[in-house]
Amino acid sequence: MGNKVGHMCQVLFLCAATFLSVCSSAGQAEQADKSVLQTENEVLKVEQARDQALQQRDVALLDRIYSDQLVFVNTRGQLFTKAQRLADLGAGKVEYFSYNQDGYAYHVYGDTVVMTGQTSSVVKFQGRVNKIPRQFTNIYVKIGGQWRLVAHQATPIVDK
Amino acid sequence: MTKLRDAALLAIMALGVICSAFAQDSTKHESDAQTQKEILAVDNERYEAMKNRDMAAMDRLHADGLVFINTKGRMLNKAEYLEEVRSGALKFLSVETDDYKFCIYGDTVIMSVRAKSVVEYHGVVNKKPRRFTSVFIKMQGHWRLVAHQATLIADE
Repeated sequence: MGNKVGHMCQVLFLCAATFLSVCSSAGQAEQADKSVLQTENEVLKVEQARDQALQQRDVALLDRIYSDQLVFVNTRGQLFTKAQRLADLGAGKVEYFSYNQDGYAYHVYGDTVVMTGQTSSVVKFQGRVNKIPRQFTNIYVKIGGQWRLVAHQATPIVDK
Repeated sequence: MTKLRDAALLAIMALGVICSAFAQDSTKHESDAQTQKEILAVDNERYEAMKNRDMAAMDRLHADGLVFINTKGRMLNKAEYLEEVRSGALKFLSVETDDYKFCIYGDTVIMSVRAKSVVEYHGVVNKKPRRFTSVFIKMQGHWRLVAHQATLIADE
């Protein structure tokens, strides 16, 4: 009889431990999901601020969003530094006629976020108007507590 | 005498701060150089794996969440990209790269490169120069490619 009770206690203990472990894992997963969602929302806010700054040619705001080591590759495969990009924007060499971005997707790796999307904004640069839909990648890294754009590349979509 | 001693102490402290800053700069420079070496080695390994269709290596070198955007603006996930390599739809006929730029943010590295590699993609040979950006992240001690985007260079 004593053995049976002991065995039952062991089974009950194991069940309780398993239950607690499952609950804990589920809680951790939920916490991680929340944290990823929070990061995505933070990055989206910065991206939206960048969109506004580009349309309003707010160079001071872009200076805060762009990392000092920004790698910027446009749809013509030209590479620009932060200084070059800000100078072009400040001088009015980049002119947006309409602004449209969508299809955002995120991959969160701690303090680095890979964000992709499509744009069909109409933009004039170096005398050429670009209307072609394009796929872009933005890489955001949290630097000094702030999400900053460290890399941007856009490619025309020619193969739907 | 006290003033002289204070001045000497200040000078020693200032020298210490300057030396420490130089040492930190030097250490960072060495560490960045080491990181660049590691990334170049991983990228070479990636090219070798692509050339030899070594799918085990391809799987190991690419993050599960890989985002791969080719010169046609087509976005592929890891499974799709690996399938293109495995099936032979994507083949590197020659590899030629230059103008490397690295930006290092701890365990995240941005690498920008110009390429004149000859690539066969779904039967069409592409020799056009292109600029690509690769993003590597160190995961459990290993650098893995998490994002890659290529764009044709229009003016070359």
